[in-house]
Order: sequence, then structure tokens, then C-alpha cells
Amino acid sequence: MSARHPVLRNIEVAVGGLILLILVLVTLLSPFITPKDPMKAFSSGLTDEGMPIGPCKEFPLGTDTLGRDLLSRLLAGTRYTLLISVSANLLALLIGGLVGLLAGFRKGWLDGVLMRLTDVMMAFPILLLAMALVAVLPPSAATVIFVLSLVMWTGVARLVRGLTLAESEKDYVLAGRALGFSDPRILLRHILPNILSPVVIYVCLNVAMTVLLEAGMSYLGVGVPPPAPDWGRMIHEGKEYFRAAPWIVAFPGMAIFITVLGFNLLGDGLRNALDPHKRAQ
Amino acid sequence: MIAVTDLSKHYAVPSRKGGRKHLRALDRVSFEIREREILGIVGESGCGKSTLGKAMLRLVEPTSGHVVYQGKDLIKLPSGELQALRTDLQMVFQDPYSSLNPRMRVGEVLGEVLWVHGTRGKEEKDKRVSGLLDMVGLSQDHARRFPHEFSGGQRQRIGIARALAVSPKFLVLDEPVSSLDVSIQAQILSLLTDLKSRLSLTYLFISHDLAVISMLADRVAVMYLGRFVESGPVREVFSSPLHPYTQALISAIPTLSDEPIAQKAKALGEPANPVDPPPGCPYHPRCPLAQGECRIEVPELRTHHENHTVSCHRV
Repeated sequence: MSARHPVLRNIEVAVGGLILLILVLVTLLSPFITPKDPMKAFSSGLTDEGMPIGPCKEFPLGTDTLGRDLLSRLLAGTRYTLLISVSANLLALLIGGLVGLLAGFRKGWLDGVLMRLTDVMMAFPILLLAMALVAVLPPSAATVIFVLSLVMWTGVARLVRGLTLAESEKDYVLAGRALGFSDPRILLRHILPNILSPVVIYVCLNVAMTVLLEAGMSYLGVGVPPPAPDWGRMIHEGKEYFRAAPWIVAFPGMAIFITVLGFNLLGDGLRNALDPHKRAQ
Repeated sequence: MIAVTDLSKHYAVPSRKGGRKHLRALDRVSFEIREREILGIVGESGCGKSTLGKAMLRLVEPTSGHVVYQGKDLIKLPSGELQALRTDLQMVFQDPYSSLNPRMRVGEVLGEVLWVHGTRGKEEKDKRVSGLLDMVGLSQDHARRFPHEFSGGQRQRIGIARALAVSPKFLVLDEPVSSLDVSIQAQILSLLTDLKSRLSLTYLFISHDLAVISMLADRVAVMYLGRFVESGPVREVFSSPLHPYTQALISAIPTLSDEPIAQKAKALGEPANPVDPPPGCPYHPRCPLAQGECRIEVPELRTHHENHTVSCHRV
């Protein structure tokens, strides 16, 4: 193996990976690198008329409507976005992966039941479902993760089912059966490793979508409860002041944009880098 | 050794009018395989010969019929007991590409089979893996490579080694050389004959290539639309074929003579649609001898003389 793995030589993977690496570092280090307390409302953070102040020496990205430091809140908010989106998708991968593997491998009535269930889930309008659930469940980050994974697992299930169906037709799976391999062995040791790369790519792109969805939920007020510095909520809180203080909306928006871009680049790049037809060129 | 009776595999396919029709991939096929013989199965693509091999080993679940091996009907056996007998009956697949897991090294492929069947010690496993590789004409250092690093012929050798890892007594060879170059075909065929005599194996050899069957098989059965139309000792069937379909197949073998090829292609047109088979003898639309009763009644397979059977009203 060369010093640089061929997948890393892909420019999209490299840039996307770098963005995400920085975001992860920010998440881990946020208690130490936030210049000010992200929760504290500074009296010097508001003008005499009580308006938020723009970027200046003391507040590099300005302040929000309560006079809190926007840069500190933005850095602290990375954790919410990343943790919620990634864990929601890991949960979705677990549920969808199990459902898809079972449906595609067992076929027959189980496949029918599981896929109709998936169809029903897909038919729900995502945001309405989220709002309905949040109304019932206690507002917390865990609730948001649960709701998002409930929405995201269906796509994973469909993809995994299709891949499993196609893979289990292959002769090496038949050979495994003839050789007396158990179903779990065939499923986990043979089929799973061979369908993994498209699933990883799909989940990566899904995380990008989840970041947007999570921000959307927070914007609508059904996300992480205040005073957490969630990016979507920051936009929500700043929208009334958009004309007077556009930075309150602009900077979290930019942060969301960069995060989505990172996951999208990584997902697309992986797809290209792992596609044997494109690699050959 | 193995007795197959009335083995059928029907697939339900939606018909254009709504409702379902049955595709008879395999229609009441019966035969016996004797110890240490090679039974050849020939027929055009789509005639059900692969389905026959897979249904016998229950790699596809047959619709009905019996496969009796060692006094037990494999079709009725609960899966626990089936697993115990399965090691005796193995299969070599047609496509040397999809028949090997692309993510496992050759040593892992063979080692896994040995591990599942009780060889746990690493040293003993390695020894047996290199023994298997040696048996199929590959070298020890091939064990560290991935399938994509091999040629088609070498991959087929790996597939054979994998089947042999459980010391089977009977092998279904499903077009084992059809996707290989002619020069490689000869090597694999000679390996298979060699292994057969060394390990006292019995083969069901499926092929569309009559030349290969005539070289290798002791007996041959000709399939058409999921049924046997003729079977008998290979020499006899090839020198004096009874069924008009067998005659057409044999006359269509390309030779290096001056005869114009057009005259050889006596089998007219394409085979009938298996979802909608013609009434009566399924071969009658292509048959030069077809008469009234051929269009009405399905001919049964009957013994013509000694071991030679045929299903045709006109013979």
C-alpha cells in the first residue's frame, strides 16, 4: 500500500474529510477555544437602544439579540449539529440495515411486511411527523435524534434490501449454502462486506440532509430546546432582526452550509473513488 | 447412487391478462446416477439444465419430486439433516467471477470451509489448504491472493478446490468450462477427469457443448423446455440419435468439412416460450416430422431399447 491510499487521493474526499476533521476538532475542543461563555448575555453586547452589535474587536462575529457572543455560540453549536446528525444516522443505519438485510435475505412474506412498513413510513411528511412527535415527547437532543432516525432509516432499509437481494443471487452465496454455511455466516461474512461501500456513501449523503433537517426543525421551534446554541435555533432567533442585524442569521447559515458541503463532498468523493469503473480511467 | 423422480420447478410469472402463469423450468424429470459415472446433460440455454442441478441440491427449492440419496429423500429432509448430507453433494458454478467472494483471499475462502466443518487448528488448516491448492494445480502462494488477481481458468480451479474441501462424493458441474478459452477448457476438463478417478467422484456434467459431453460423459440426457427428450449411453445417442431434436443438435455441430453451414442448422427457429409452451409435444413447432398427434398429446419418455429412452411419437 502506498503512503497515500487511492481513496484519499480523490480531491473531494480530501476536502470533505478536511472540513469534517476541523468540525470534529471544534466539537472536541469547544470548551477550550470558545473566546467567551456562549450562554452569557453581555451588557456590552447590546447597544444603548438594546440592539445587537455587529462584528467588532470584542465580538468578532457580532452578538445576538440577547447580547451573547455569536462566535462562541457558533463554535459551541458545532457539537449539537454534528452529534445529532451523526448519531441519528447511525441509529437509522442500524434499524434500516437490519430491516433491509432481513427483507432482502429472507424474501417472501417477511420482505412484503417490512417493505410495506417502510413505504408507510416514507409516506409521512417528514416535518409534520417531527412536529407531531416533538409535541408528545419531552423536548431534548435525544428526542431530536430519535425523530430524525425515524425519518432516515427507511431509505437505508430500501437500499440495503435491494443490494442484499442482488448479492444473494450470486453464485458464491449459493456455494456457501451448498457448503453448509449458516444463514448468519452468509449474511454477515459474505453479503454484508460486499454491499457496505454503497451504504456508507448513502449514509454520508444522508447526514448532510439531516443537518439541514435538524436546522429546519430548530428553526420551526421543534428542535433542541433553548438556550442551547443550536445553529437552526440561532437563525430562528435572529430572523426578526434580519434587516438590522443580518450577521445573526448569516453566520449560522454559513456554518450549516459548510457542514453540509463537507458531508456531500465526502459522500460524492467516496462514490467516485470506490466506483471501479471510474477508478479505471 | 442418486435417484431423481419427477423433479419439477415451476416459477409463477404474472401474465399479461392479469393472474399468474407457470414457467415450467423443470417438468417431471426422472433419472438415476450410478456410482462413479458421468451423466451429461445437454440442451440449449434456458432449457432448465442449470435449474436441474440446483434443484437436486436444493439450492433452488423444487416445486415437487424426490431426490433419493443414501435412502433419504433430500427434498423432504429437514434442514438440519440436509446440512449433514450436503457435504457429499457439491457444485461447481459456471461463472468463475460471481462464484467467488471478491473480498476474500483464496486461502480464506478454503479455510472458511474447513473451519465450518471442524478443522480449527491454524497449522492443520494451512496444510489442508495447500493440499487442496495442489490438488487443483495451483501453488501455495496463490492462497494469499484475491480472486480478481486470477484468470478465469484459475478461478475455476479455486471453485473446484472449494467444492473438494468438504470431500464430496458427487459434483454438479454447471457448465464449468463454458466461459473459458478453448485451450483452458481442455486443461480444466483433464483436471476434472483426473480428480474423478483419483477421488472416485460421480459427476452430473451440465453443458451446451456436445463435443465436451461426448468426450467426458458415460451417459447423456438431452433436455428441451424443462423435460428430458432422450437419454442413453453417450456413444449410442451420438452415433444413432433417435429424437429429431437430438439429431438437429448433433448435425448443428460446426465441423471443418465443406458442407455449407446453412444445411446443418436444421433446427428451425427459436425454442418455444416456456411460459406458454405449445400444446402436445413441446418440440413440434420446430420438428420436421411433426404430425397430428404431436400437436395434441405430450409424448412420454419411454424405453426404446435397453438403456436408450426417448420421448417422441414418431420414433
